[in-house]
Amino acid sequence: MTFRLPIVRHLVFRDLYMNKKSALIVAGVLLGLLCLFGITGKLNPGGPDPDFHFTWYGIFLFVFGIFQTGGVYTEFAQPATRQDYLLLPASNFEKWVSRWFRTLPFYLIAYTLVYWLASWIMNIICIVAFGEVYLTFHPFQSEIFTFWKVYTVAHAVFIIGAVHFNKSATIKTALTVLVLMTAISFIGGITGWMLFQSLTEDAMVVNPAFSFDLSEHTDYWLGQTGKAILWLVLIPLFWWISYLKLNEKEV
Amino acid sequence: MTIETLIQIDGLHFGYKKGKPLFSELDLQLKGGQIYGLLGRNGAGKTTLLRIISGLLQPWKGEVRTLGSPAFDRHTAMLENICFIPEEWAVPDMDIRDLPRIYAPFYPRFDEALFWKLVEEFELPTSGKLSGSSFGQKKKAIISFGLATRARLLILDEPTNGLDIPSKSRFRKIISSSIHDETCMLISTHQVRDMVNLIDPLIILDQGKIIFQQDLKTVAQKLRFHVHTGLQEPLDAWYAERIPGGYLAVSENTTGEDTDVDLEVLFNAIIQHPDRIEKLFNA
Repeated sequence: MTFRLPIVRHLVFRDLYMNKKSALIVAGVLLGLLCLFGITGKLNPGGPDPDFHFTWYGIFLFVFGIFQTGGVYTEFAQPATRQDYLLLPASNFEKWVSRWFRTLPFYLIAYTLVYWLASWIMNIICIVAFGEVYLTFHPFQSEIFTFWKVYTVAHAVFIIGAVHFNKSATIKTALTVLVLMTAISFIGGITGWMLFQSLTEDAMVVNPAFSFDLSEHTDYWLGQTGKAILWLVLIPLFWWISYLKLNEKEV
Repeated sequence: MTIETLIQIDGLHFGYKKGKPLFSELDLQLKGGQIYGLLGRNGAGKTTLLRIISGLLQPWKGEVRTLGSPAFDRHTAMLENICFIPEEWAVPDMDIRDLPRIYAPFYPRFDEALFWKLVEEFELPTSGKLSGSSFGQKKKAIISFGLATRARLLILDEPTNGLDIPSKSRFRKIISSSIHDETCMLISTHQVRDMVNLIDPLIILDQGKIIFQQDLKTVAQKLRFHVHTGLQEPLDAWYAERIPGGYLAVSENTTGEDTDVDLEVLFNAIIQHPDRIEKLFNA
């Protein structure tokens, strides 16, 4: 597994060069929509919505991020472009790291920066038009990091789909997730019914056939274990699977 | 000095559909210092073989080693030394001036001076978007870049498609001057007349098997290519095709006469009489 930082840097630079137009378009759309919603909000007689930035920051983060991650291997759609990418003299790991970097840490920071700039432009327009700012956006808040965490989970899923599906990866991944979630919910429902003899929380009585007690302490540790499994096992595993899938990619 | 084996294929099995192998027990060895011509009918598996050699397809069974490492592992040392110019390629949406800037850092031996020299030789514009260029111009830009990488293995699939007549002769000149003992070129083509005086040895692939692999000197020793005037097909011809005023024929060279090998006639003779040809060359 070869890893050379200068090559990863060249790969990221190449990607940014190739995608500079679409990145500018996305930034423009973000700015345009934010200004539109900001001005509309300012005209609202009920006063500013205090959750305005959290709502739109989160929505735009997920929409642009998921489409970006799902389409990060857009060259796989055509055999000629797939070949061009696979034969680029960099190891599969370097190629994977460069795309992971672009769609996760780089995206989160660049998106937040662009959103912050767009929010300033929106506020400048509001000052010019209405004589006062609408709402200022503060990027260093715990809610922002919560969004980042949730996006990281979505990223781990969508990057697998991006490598696996050659065409329309985002939509196909979303549909696959939907099918899997439905199946998991169904299995979870049946398991819940077997354990608690009910599907509603208010009637949670442990089936006598399973003799254990769900104390508050157990509940806490179950939650912590779940988190640990998610962050230490599942997400790295999903990333690893996407890397292995890149290794297997053919033309 | 021993010439290094750059491609070694042993017992290759491959197919696109389960139970329908395209290649079974295919063996091939390609050495440095040669410009191999890979010929075959449509669907013979030429492009597939080139992709397997480049590490773009995984063999079902058997070993494919390109530049010393398993091809499908796509090791960086291998990729840095391969330049595969397929029949259909993706031209990046960029100015030709940016091509070395964006791609050269991946090729440690990239020679920018050579790139611009080749661009000049192919009479390409030195600025402007590649995506806006003609098919032939794009191809010339890609070939120039490929040669400038100084890759040890240059794989070209139908390289003269889309090139105009002056560019074809320039292409032959450039390719023949680029070969040396440590490099190998593998050219797959249907345009054999474009490859005259360039490709040697010749590899012919048919029905998933290599049915012929010989250098042209041996071919000229064993076979005689001649024009036969008259309405009747020459009796000793293994293969003859009608031309104005007679036949272009190939026969066994029993006289020791040295004739120029006609690649198209040779190919047709081999395809029509593979057993006869095999017997003659393996005698």
